[in-house]
Amino acid sequence: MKREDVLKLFPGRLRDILGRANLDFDRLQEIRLRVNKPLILLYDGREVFLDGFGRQWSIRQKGYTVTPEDISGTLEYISSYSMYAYEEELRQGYLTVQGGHRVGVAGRAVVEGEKLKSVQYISFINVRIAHQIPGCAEQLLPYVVEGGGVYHTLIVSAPRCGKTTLLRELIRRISDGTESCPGLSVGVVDERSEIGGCYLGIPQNDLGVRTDVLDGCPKAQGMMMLVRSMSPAVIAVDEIATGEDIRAVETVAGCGCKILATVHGSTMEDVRRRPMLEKLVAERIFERYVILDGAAAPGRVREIYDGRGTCLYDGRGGSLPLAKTGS
Amino acid sequence: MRPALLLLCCLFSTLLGMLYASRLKSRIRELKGLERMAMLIRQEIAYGRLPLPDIFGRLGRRMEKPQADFLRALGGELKEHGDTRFEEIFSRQVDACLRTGNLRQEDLDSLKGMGAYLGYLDRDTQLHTLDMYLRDTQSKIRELSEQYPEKSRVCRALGIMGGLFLAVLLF
Repeated sequence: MKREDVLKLFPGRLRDILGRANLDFDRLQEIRLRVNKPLILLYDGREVFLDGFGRQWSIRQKGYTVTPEDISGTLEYISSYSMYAYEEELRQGYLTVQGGHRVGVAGRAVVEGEKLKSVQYISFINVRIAHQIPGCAEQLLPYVVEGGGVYHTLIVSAPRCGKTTLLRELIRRISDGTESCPGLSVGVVDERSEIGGCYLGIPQNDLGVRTDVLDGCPKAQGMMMLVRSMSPAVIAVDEIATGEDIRAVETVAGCGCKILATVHGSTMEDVRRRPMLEKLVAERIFERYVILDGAAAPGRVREIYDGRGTCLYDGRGGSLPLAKTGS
Repeated sequence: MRPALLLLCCLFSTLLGMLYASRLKSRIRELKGLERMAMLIRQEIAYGRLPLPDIFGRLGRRMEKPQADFLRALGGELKEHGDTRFEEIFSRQVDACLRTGNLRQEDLDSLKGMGAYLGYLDRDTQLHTLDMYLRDTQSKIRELSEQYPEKSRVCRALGIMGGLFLAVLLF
């Protein structure tokens, strides 16, 4: 199914090349098209060049050269012949297609005043293949879910280290219910369509049976909208960054909803040092801080702290968890 | 026998005249169907911002034949991403679903011309393309509607006269 979803995004020649290549689409991460440059795949964490017959090479000289017609044909298919319908998404630089795959575009920016109006002469396309990893949050669940409830949790991670994938799986498990907690209604504010991968408002990723998604909405506004309209027990947001996001988190936590959020960073010190976040840390809004390992081991939990900063779990050197409870 | 044959001749010729008049009326009706279809597509693009295949699928469930068949077939083929340009798919479905009706070649060519610019560039271009097609179609409908009463009379009259003339010639 994923294979067909992905192949349908490309016009004849590229579809033929990708179809012939002996690819496991569950291990395919990115397909990169650049005009007059070789076709490049990110496959199993390494770069692969495909030639005109779909054969894989590690040297770029063998790669099939992407033509302007390949780019324009791909744009037609990814937009379902309707570029006008994706003007807002193109302004953000990407759009989400059926299957939850994210297609980033680059070209000439058209600026009106100080605002970006659109992207023209698109010559670069990056298709990021969506992967959901069921079960990747199993070991984390006992620290986040306990006694029929959920702790306010902040996942801290550097970019591309699996925080969104982990958050997605946490949402699904909390929504569907676990051994220690019945299913809870979860509201997701998915500003960049990365969590649910919504296509025409329908999440392409499995977020659980009790999850409502506000797709493409600014986080601060979205959190308040969900609290007012959808009565969630838990609200999930990805990459809180601005003062507005932080204030919304404080307000929502005060309304009785539990928060699952992520933020960029590598250590607890990064979180404490951030001007906006240090207030949340000082007020002990978050009850769990989950620090992920780096790019070498995406999705792996390195440390877990409670709201007071006590280390509950230290995964470095393979040590056993120190404690499972705390405030 | 002869009077019966004469009568049949006149009747047949009259019916031909009436059929031709009725085809004129049907052409106007089908053009109005295309006008309605274009208007609905325009509204969907203006307010819904759905991609074209989804618009065609939605409208295909709401409209009547033959526009419904055309839209459903078009939306279905577009969703398959069968490696054909939009313009070709649109043109093919126009010929497959709308050619059998009372529309003339010029009506079908006008529709295909609109289809050549759908999906191209931004939303304003879509709306402008559809507005142009709507203006042309409405103008054609107006013209044909104004001409219809007289043409219908002429067709019926010619049918009767033709029948009489044929009868005189033969008998």
